[in-house]
Amino acid sequence: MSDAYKAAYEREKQARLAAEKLLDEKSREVQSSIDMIQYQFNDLMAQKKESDYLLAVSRLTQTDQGLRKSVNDYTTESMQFLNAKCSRYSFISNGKITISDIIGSDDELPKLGIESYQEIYKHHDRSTVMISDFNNQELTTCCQELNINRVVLIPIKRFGKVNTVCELYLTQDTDFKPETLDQCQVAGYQIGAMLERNSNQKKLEKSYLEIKSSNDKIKQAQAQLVQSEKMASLGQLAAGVAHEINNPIGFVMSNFSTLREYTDVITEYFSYASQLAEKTEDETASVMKEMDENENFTFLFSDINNIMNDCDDGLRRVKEIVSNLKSFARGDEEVTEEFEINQCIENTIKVVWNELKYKVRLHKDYDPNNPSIKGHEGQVGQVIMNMLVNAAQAMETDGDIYIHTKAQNDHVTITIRDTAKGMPQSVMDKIFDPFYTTKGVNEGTGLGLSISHGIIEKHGGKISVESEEGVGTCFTIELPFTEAQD
Amino acid sequence: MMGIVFNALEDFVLETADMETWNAVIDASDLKSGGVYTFGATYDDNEIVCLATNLCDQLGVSLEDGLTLFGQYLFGFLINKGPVELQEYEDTQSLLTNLENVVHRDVKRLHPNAYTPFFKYTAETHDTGTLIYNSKRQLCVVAGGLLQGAAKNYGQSVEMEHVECMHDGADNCKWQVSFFKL
Repeated sequence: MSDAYKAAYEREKQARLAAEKLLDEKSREVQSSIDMIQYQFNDLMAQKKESDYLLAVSRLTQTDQGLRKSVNDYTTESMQFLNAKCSRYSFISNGKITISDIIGSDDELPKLGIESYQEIYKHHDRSTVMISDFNNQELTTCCQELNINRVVLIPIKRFGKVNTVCELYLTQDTDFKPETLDQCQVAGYQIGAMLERNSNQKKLEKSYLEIKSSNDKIKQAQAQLVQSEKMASLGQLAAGVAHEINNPIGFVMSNFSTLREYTDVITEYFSYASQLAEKTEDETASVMKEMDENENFTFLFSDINNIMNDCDDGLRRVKEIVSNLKSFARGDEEVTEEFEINQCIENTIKVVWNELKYKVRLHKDYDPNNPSIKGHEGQVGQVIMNMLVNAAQAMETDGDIYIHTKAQNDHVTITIRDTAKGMPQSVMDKIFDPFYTTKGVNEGTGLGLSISHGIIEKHGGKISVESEEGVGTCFTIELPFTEAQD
Repeated sequence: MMGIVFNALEDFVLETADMETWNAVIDASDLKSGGVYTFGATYDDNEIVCLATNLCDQLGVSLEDGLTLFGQYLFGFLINKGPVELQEYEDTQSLLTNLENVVHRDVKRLHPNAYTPFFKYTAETHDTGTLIYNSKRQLCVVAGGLLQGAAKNYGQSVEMEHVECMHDGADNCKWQVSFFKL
């Protein structure tokens, strides 16, 4: 080789060595970078696993799946997080293990008594415990077969007490940092807080419903009290008025009856006098005939009769009003007796049939047991009559009335449903108010239903109404089997 | 200066002259490296200046002519043996447009300590534009040679007017360039 190329060769050799050295350095750098990337990747994966675990636990705390499902899901997530071989959770109540479920193993892990856990907690500060520390041969043998050497215990507290214990069984190969265990513990606190919150929420809802129900009952009682007070005041007023009117009406009616008798006599005498005047030619007779022509006594006497009849009607009407007022106001005058509801209704229908027969088709569906109650048959009959008459009066042409009785538990239910014109809500709201009526002047006192309401209440029952305009109205009366109350 | 440029210079000398010439140039130069150059290593800028000066003396050409010829040769060397892909560009204009943000960026990724000259091409039309060059080495002659080498590689010819020069005190060197298809 010439000297020139020899020198070149030497340079090339050195260049190659330098290149190899450079390559070696670069390789080390690359390997170091790869190692660092691998480390960072492992770290990232571990962080991802942690955040996935915490996210899963966080989601659990947002749901309300019930105690057992929540604890099951938490234990499953923790088992996967720690790569545990299997796990178990147990519920503790009144110092005893009540329910215990195993996850991830078909083998039956021997049950542990509450004393085992208490013993462990007495002697161990850390939550990871060796199986041998349980001093339970059965458990030790079972765990040996499963290659389990230790267990992580996570207690879940609610309301300051440990109600649940989660056990995560680990093999010899399982390894993790202490922070990982801390996160399991923190997650356990979260689950406990969530369970506590859900429990409180349920209690709160229950309390709310109870309070609402009580409130509704109070409002109802208040309304009933107001109604009763109203009724009592009106009753007093009615009694007073009835009493004041009763006497003058009494003697007016009595006098009127006498007046009618006198009128009848005078009419008869006048008839004879007229006949005599016709046959006589003297001056008195002429005056009598002239007076007859001028005054038209035939018409007069006929009109007197009409006027008397009108007065009679008027007085009867006033008497009826006074009687209604008395009814409205009166106390327990009738004797309490036991009577059959079906029979009471039948009797009432007989009394009122004349008013119903031209307009009403009656449909009866009585309870064959024919329930009987203790109370005032006449008063209850009055109520039924009121319902039937009102129904008939509400029919424009004709219609149906359905009467149904049914014994239930401690009361009998009577429904009277018609196919009359029905009424709007605004009328239904006032229908039991005294003196409220939809009938014209002189057609109704407006006391019928308020009296009926009072009678039913005195019997310890309830009366209610439902109606739909154009369809019909249904009254429902409930009367208890127990003794009638005032 | 990266070793690849020294390797290119050696190859250039062996092609245009011979090994004895290269040995003589090395012997005549005061080189810390002793003339041993590895592709991916970095060496003193002074060594290339020294080698180039002594080479031009040896060949009996002016420094400017020598560097221009070397620049033309260098492009061919880089495109075949360089660390970054240059073949994917379809003409000189697209290479110049991507020189800084693609080519030199990739070079720095592989050799973080490498000092690369700064180039910026601004197209005026498809075939004309301005090229700006800046480098602490102020080898604008070599840059001009590289541009000619590049044009030849892409089947083009280039007319360059050196309108500004760092050697004249300007901040950058600037050429007005026009490309023609061969």
